[in-house]
Amino acid sequence: MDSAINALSKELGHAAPEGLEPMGADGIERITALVAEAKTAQATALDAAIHKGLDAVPMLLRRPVKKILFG
Amino acid sequence: MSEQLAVQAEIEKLSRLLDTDADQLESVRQLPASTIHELSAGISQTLHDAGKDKLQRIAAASKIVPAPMAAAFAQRYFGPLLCARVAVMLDPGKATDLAKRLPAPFLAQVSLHLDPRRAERIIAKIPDDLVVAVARELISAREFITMGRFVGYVSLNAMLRAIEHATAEELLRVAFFVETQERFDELAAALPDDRIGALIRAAAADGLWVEALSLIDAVGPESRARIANIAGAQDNEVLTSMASTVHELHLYEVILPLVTMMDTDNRKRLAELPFLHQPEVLTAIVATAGAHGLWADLLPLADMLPEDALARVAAAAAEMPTDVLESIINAAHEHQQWPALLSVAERMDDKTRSELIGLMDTFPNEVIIGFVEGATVSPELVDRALALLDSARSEHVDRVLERVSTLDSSARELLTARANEIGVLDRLGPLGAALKA
Repeated sequence: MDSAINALSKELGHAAPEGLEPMGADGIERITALVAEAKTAQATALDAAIHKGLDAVPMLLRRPVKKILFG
Repeated sequence: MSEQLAVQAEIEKLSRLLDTDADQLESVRQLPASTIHELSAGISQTLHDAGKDKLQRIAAASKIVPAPMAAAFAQRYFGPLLCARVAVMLDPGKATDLAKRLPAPFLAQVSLHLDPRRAERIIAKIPDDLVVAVARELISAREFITMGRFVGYVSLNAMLRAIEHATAEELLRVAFFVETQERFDELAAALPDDRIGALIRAAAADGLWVEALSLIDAVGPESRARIANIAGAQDNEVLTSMASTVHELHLYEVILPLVTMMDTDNRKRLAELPFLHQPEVLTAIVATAGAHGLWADLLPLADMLPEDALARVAAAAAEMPTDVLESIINAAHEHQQWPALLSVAERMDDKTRSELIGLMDTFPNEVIIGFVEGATVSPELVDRALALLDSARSEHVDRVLERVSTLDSSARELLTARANEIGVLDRLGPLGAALKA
């Protein structure tokens, strides 16, 4: 049980809420997997949107925008 | 909102956040609603924090892009998810300026990914006309979870305008996900009786009793009594539909307190509903009253049930442990429902009836006084109370009569005067003797 809660906390990047024990280890592991999937899906979607947007920035602004984005 | 209904609402919100079916989250059902809410908030925080550095740089870059161009970009290239994540990192003034330049359908898409708690300062600056337009988009797209979550963050005026044209079914679905308590009362107060009636009928027609009951359960006592009476005044078909859902989902702890709030006529109609007279239904009702301390709510209904059904209630109550029998006495005392308790006790088996009377001895004097007062309200009640005492085992009755005889003399004088006033003093038998002792 503790390891399932620790794994969820790690996936969340902060402590999981207290009182999840009634879900059982399987239930907590299922939530951890769903959080990981949601994070991956979001990261993919955000990266695609960023690149799509950057490609469309007018030439005049592209250099300063890139500088802010990528240093 | 009752715990069971709140859990259902929280699971649906979590499934939306994780982009999965609620069926996948069955294990979450074991948690209290507050823990599920906390879990959702934690996951929302994680998703909002993911890629934060990158998002902050996009927010910074947007400052050098003129607002009209940034708005056009946001819609055409960035899309709703990126816009939602960046919006909460912008200065609220800048975010609002951009929002005003975007069409309502796009903003509705953005709101699906937005946590209203994080966007509160932006939402507060958006003009009502735009809020209403976005809300109507959400309703027509049947995005009820998002709509419900935002209801607590927009102005009352905007909320009322947004729901003006919503159907009863849409309104029920939105209300199920509203998180802000005061909004329920404002919503209920703003809806005229005929619209509330339409909500109740829609609940029956569309199988939305969970949503309707959660709305009734969430409003304050005044609105709850009003809605309970509008519900109670519906035809038998609607009432049966409600009762069967309540039975199927074990929601008696939600419905029983509403019955007490109903006018006598509505309560009587409910008590006459054949569905409620089924043995398994009555047993479930009595079990709920026992488990949740709702005898004060059940007694007034029980007293109006037809003979067979009342006898079943008494039989089911007789199966309950001693602490439940004590809670029945407490309820009768605290809510002046001695006549209803009398009706139930009269139909109990001899042994339980005797025990119930014997239990009176364990209560403080004010309960004993309340019982005698309750028994001396009318000649008919006196006769019934005496018959009840007569049918109980002498050791139990003697203990109660002993308690009556040792009451403070002023209390006994008051009770005697009261019995005299309604002309029953000479009919009190052993009770009268105890009062005069």
